Amino acid sequence: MRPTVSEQLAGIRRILAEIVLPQITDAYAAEVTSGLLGTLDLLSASWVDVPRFLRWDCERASAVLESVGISPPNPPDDPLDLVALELHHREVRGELERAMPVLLECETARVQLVELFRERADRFPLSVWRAGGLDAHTTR
Amino acid sequence: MRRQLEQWLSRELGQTVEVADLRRTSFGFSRENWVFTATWSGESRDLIARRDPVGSVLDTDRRVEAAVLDAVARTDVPSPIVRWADPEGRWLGRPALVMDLARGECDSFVLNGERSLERRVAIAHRLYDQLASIHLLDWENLGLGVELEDPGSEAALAAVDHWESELRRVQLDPEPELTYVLAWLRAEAPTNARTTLVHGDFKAGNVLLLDDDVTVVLDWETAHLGDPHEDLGWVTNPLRAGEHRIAGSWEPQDLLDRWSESTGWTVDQSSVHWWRVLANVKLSVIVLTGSMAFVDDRLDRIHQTPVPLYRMLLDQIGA
Repeated sequence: MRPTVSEQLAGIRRILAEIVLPQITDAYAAEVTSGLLGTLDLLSASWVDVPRFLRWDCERASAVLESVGISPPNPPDDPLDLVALELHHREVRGELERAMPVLLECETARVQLVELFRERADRFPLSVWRAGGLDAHTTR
Repeated sequence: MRRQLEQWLSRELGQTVEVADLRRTSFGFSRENWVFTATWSGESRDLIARRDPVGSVLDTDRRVEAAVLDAVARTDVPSPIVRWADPEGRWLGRPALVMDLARGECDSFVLNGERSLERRVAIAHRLYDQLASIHLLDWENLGLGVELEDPGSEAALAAVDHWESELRRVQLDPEPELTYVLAWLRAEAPTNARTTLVHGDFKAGNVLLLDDDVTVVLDWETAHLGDPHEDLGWVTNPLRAGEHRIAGSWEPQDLLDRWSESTGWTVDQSSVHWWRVLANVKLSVIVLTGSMAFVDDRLDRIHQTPVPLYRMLLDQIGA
């Protein structure tokens, strides 16, 4: 399936950067376009990791819920159905949010929860912030 | 936009006003900033219109901002001069302020820029002395109690209520990390010894410098009454060290010591720490507000979920 989705995203980024951006004279439009280029960089490099991350996050969050006796929502029948996976992910995270008072009462579950939060921060595929602080773009 | 501005200003002045060189600047995430030259009575003035965007990372009230600016203009704290306010958005379609365009350089990272270390430290002193001056303002005599609510000694809990309410309003997805941190904030909330005016977004990127001196403190849209430790937490947030700290020469403790000398008030370190945590919750909610506005086709910038901030929050609360 060539050009692949990644190749198309990278190609769009190149065309915008090399053909379109140099022609933009308006400062606001140029800055917005530069921001879009950054997002295209991120998407072309990381979009393939999103389904795997969603599945992992759902499984780990479900385990935390089960540790305090809460039944997590059932995963979708088709593991390749990304829309269903996104919906399932939202449901599981919502359950985790609602279960917070119970999770905070149980030290074992609380520790598991924090481990999950930390590991998912390391694994999160669409992360743009640099370690060590905000950059000029983010802080304006 | 040009014609709308001409109509508005002509009505305000009772004479024909011509607007020229109108352009939207690239700076500013929360408001649209339009700079222009207005001519009336044979004289040209450089002005700036701050208009609410269709979508923003912050939802604030131009009426309140104008009231704060009017009050601060009567003090020694250098602030933008508001000429006209349209909080209902009758003239430009959305709420807006027209102010004098102040002169000076705006550089978020001036403290770590190319000036000599001595000059940068001197700028840091002048910059944060302005913050102390804001906290020392007699807000009651300035009449700010009319537009701004005094949270009394419960400024911290009021802030948690406010930002949790904002989170619930804007979140596209469940954010259990923030729910977890909010529980910690509620459990550990300090009380405040005094109420002051709080700028809410004090930073080098919100002042203009001319010859290394602060000519104006900008961006008062998040100003409110509360605990001055809130601003101290904001300006010593390790996440923003690149803006506020000069390694080895202007450390967070130097800033707090100087503020204490300027105000005569003791710094409560645990309170500063609590407000640093709140600062990162606030930043997270601001990013999520941007995400919502983008999905609603009301913002031209894409904001990703601030997951790295969540990791920092866990570190901050010792989780």
